[in-house]
Amino acid sequence: MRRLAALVFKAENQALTPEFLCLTLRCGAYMVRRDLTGAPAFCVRSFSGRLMGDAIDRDGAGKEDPPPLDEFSRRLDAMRGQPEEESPKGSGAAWGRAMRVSSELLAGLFVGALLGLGLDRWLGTAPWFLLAGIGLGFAAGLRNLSRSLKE
Amino acid sequence: MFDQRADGPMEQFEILPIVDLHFGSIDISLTNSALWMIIGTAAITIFFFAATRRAAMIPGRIQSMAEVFYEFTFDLVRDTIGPDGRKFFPYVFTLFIFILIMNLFGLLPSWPGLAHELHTFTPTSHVIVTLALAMLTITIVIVYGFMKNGLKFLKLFWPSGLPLWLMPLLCLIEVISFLSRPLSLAIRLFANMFAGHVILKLFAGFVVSLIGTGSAVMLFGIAPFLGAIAVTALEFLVAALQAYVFAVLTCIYLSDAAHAADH
Repeated sequence: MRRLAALVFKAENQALTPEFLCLTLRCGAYMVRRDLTGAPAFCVRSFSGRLMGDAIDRDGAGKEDPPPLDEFSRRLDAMRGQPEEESPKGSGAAWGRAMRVSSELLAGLFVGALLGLGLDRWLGTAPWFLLAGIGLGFAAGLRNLSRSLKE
Repeated sequence: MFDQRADGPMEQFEILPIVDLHFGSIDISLTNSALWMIIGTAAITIFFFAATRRAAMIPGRIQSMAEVFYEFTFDLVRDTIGPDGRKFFPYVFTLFIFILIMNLFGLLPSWPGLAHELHTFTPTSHVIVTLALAMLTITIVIVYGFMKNGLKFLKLFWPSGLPLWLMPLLCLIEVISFLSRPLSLAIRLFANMFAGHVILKLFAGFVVSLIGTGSAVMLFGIAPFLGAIAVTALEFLVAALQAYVFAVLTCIYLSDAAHAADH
């Protein structure tokens, strides 16, 4: 059965070929029964973001109308219980975070120093605004840092 | 066998006009940077048209790829901004895909023997491009922040629950922190792409000059060659990651603007 499920899954990823349809019809009843209890092998997500299963007839003969997909989705969700916890903090996210943190401290300092330098040029008060700007910029960088670490 | 005229590592960033165009006194020539942006945009458009041409319930290969991109960004926007983030989805999606494709296309090898103007070019390795994208984001944040919250948007710079005498100082710090956002967005993307390309070029340059010696020293060329392969792999990761970070931060800033009054 495992192999069959893999086969169906493969076929489904290809396209809706006649062989696939044939296969589906033959094992449809069994698959649906299994899938309502176990992990669904053929759930696809569409552009509308809904969870959908294949429209396989319960008796596999194609005589009855398939139940509406929304209904199927609801039943599926109920059977599966709580959606499993996803972990968004993969290694990629961690990498991204590291790069963010390092550059945010620097950016604050840079902007502070730049503002100070500009004010000094304008008012002719070198180097006082630059010094204050570096101090404030460092503080702003730390503020950025603490904010991005809190998320 | 090899062209031994070693170009400097900076020549790949040179902006060269391909078609000279002038609008009054303004130079609006089509440059290699603009050309690669057009190529990238065209590729994106063709890809998504092909993917959505026959939207099937059971997606084919192209449609599956498009849906992965779509859902990835959609989840990101929804999780970061919340339910009213939906209206920013097109912007974040466009930004993400555009930066991703710019970064990735910059890793394509140039066609051998092509003129310098037509070599592969990475627009995101120029700070003016990334800064323009960052300024666009910050402009949207400011405009939307004032539109949604009115003057309460300024609460963003006014942290609550602190002694009054500390307020002016903290307000100043918050303003600088806010101003540093577009800069950190722009510099991060630009610096990552720039540095990666310089390192790649340096490694490749070592290989060429070591092989060019023609003696037993040639064997040492294997080390930078392996290095170049490793850096290329790393660059693929960096290209995707930087596009992701840019999109994430855009979402975070937009979320700040949407919820400024709740602080």
